[in-house]
Amino acid sequence: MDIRKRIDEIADGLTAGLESDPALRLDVRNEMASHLEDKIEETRQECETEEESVELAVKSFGSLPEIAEGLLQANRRRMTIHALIKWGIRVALVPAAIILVLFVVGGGFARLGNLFYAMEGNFMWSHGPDVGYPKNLSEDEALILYGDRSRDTESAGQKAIWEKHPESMVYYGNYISHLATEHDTDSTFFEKEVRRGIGLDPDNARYNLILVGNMLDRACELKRIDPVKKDSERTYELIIKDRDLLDEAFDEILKSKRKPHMKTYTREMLRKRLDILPTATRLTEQIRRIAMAAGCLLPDLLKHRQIERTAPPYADILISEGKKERAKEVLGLWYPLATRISDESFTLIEILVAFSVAKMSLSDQYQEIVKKLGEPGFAETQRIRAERIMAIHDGWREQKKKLQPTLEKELEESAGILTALLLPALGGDIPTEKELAPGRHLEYTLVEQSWALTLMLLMLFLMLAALVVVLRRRIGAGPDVRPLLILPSSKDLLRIFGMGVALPIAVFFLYTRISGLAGRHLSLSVNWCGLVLELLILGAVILYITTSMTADAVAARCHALGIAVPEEKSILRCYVFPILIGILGILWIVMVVFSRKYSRPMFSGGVGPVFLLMVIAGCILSSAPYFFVLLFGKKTLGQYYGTVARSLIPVFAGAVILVVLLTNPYLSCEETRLVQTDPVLAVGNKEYLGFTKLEADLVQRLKKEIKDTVKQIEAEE
Amino acid sequence: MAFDRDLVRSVAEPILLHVVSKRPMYGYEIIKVVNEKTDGAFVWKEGTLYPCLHRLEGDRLIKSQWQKAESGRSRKYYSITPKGTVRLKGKLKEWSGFTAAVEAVLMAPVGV
Repeated sequence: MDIRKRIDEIADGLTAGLESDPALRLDVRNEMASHLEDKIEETRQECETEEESVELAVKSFGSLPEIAEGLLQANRRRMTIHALIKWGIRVALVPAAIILVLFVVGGGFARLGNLFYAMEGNFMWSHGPDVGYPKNLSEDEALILYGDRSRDTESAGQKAIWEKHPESMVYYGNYISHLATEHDTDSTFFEKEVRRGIGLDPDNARYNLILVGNMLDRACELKRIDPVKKDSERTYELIIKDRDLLDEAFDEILKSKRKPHMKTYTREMLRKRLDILPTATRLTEQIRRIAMAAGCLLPDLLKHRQIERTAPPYADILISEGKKERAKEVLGLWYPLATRISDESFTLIEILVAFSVAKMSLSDQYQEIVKKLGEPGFAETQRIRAERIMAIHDGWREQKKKLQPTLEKELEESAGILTALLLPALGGDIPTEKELAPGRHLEYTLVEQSWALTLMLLMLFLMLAALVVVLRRRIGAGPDVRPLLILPSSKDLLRIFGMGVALPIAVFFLYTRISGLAGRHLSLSVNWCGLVLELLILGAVILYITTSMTADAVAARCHALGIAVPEEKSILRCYVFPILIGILGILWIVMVVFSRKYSRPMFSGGVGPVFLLMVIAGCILSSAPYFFVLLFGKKTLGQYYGTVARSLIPVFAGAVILVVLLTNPYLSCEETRLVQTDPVLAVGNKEYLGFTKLEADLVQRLKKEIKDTVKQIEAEE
Repeated sequence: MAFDRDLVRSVAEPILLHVVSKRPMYGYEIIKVVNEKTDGAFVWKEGTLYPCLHRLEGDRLIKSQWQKAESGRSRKYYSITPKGTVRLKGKLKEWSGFTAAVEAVLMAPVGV
């Protein structure tokens, strides 16, 4: 008699009722078999043959059906709980993890897509809803934001806003700004609409000046005589097409001089639109706001420059015709024009156009023409006015030039990428650490968000890889050696998630936010190698610890259940991972020392991406070789490998959910806080209006200086 | 002396908890120890023992762990949990009160 076979038969029979829970059945079966073995050993002393001792042992066991029934009843509750857990894993946990990953990753990529879309310039109103503009707007708010998109042209769509609010000069001004930029607008229609503006807003010189631009386009042509000179020093020849219209244009300009103000309403319209948009909580939303501000149309500036360039040669013609008084008025036009442009401006470009208008009066051509007037007093007045206004400009340029090298170095080392792009053009003071920090930290936060998304995707991929292993190990395996689902105990799960996920993330948080060792005072462009390595070490550690602790817990249980397990830990686990982490760690030390000593990245250009790929491959290697063993390892250990893989799936699902819970809310809140406190990117703040606070401060300063200078000039005159 | 099966079953839980509270034991060993301590009065069958053990484990009053003996054979050892210790104390108190009450009736002089 084969005693082992008989024991197995009896044990199988006793546990037949537990077959719906294979792991439990195996446990109880082994227990019964072990007890039988002890019993047989006891009865061996009383019997002559082995068969007798076996039968005596079985008889003394009692009624086998009764025992089987007793075992079933005693374990029914546990089986129900296990079944519920398995069902929960299959129906809830794993799908929840997959959906969560796809949702978070999808949301992240959608925001990135919107960001790139907006930065390519696709931020005009007609594209609004496609770029994820807020959808829960009232009809009126949507109209103000987008215009009426059902109309044929952009300007017609903007006109619809004014038609709904005919009392508003802001909406009419906005409409005219759009009409002025549409090059295929019929000239007669354009003039009619601008004249309507003159009628609606009689104190506003803006419409007169726009009309003048239109008239000058038809009346004359400017030809540059000295193209080699800088723009503001060029000399222009006036080619007249319609003299009467030209005269009429300058009549219009002189008429506009008497109006109390010049308002384009660009700022007011931008304010209305920004107020409709919710406060930005994400960088992509903030960049959309910046893009909206950047998309403000300033067609008047071209008209102003056109007037500035046309005036001197026109005055020259008037002087040659003996119309000196009119010529004097025309030559003096630059001053009220420049001051009005300055008063109305809220962007640096407008201030620069005001300076350009002033500078025209210092050009050689202007000076020669003024001399012909034969009024040295007038000439002197114009010169002094222009020089004093230009002194402000020159002071700003001088400061910009002086501070530029320091500014560029500071920005390269300590500023965010956007800040480093925007600030050099402003030429303001060197920004403080308080002003640079939010933008810089925002970029680190965005990279960390991307890392979290990547890690989740990687875990999802590993869940799929585990499923492949399970299927592979199931094929051809008998019912007794199929992979089991063995969930680590609650204590083990707590250890796996605690040490494998929560602890590494907590250590990373302390290292980056509290310790001061993470080099966060350096810009991302300098510190990116170190950051990438830190994140990849973090990812590799999480994947490795989670995988290996789960495998150890499962191995212990498999051993207890009598499933064949490897005698030793694999070489990969013992050596490959520590060596990998060691290499990454050494690389990290080298990067960190280099970047902090020299304040520049160790790799740049094409080497960077190659380096990145190598390190990403290194991270994947922390888990992938293990899966290779699970998939292709010895067939005799197939049930063990399959069980490990099957048991890893819910653990990874749980780990994914934990990574989302630990990283997403915190990083989202941090992004919101940084976006809302960054003085560079903050646009449309209640206190100021401009692309950035730094630009707004600069523009306000220059405006004030111009205003003070004009007051002084007028007091002295 | 053979005892009523229901009576034996009713005391199985406190006896088991008490036995494994002393030291971890496996099923076969538990039967032997109980038999010895009761001088053969309680001869538990496997059909009584294991369902009870598994029920107690399911209620988290005891826990189990497979261990390899020197002989190389693996055995499943049971030990008491903190929850089991609390239950055992309660059961002992209950048993003490129960037996006192029963004795007070059964052992009282006839006619009282």
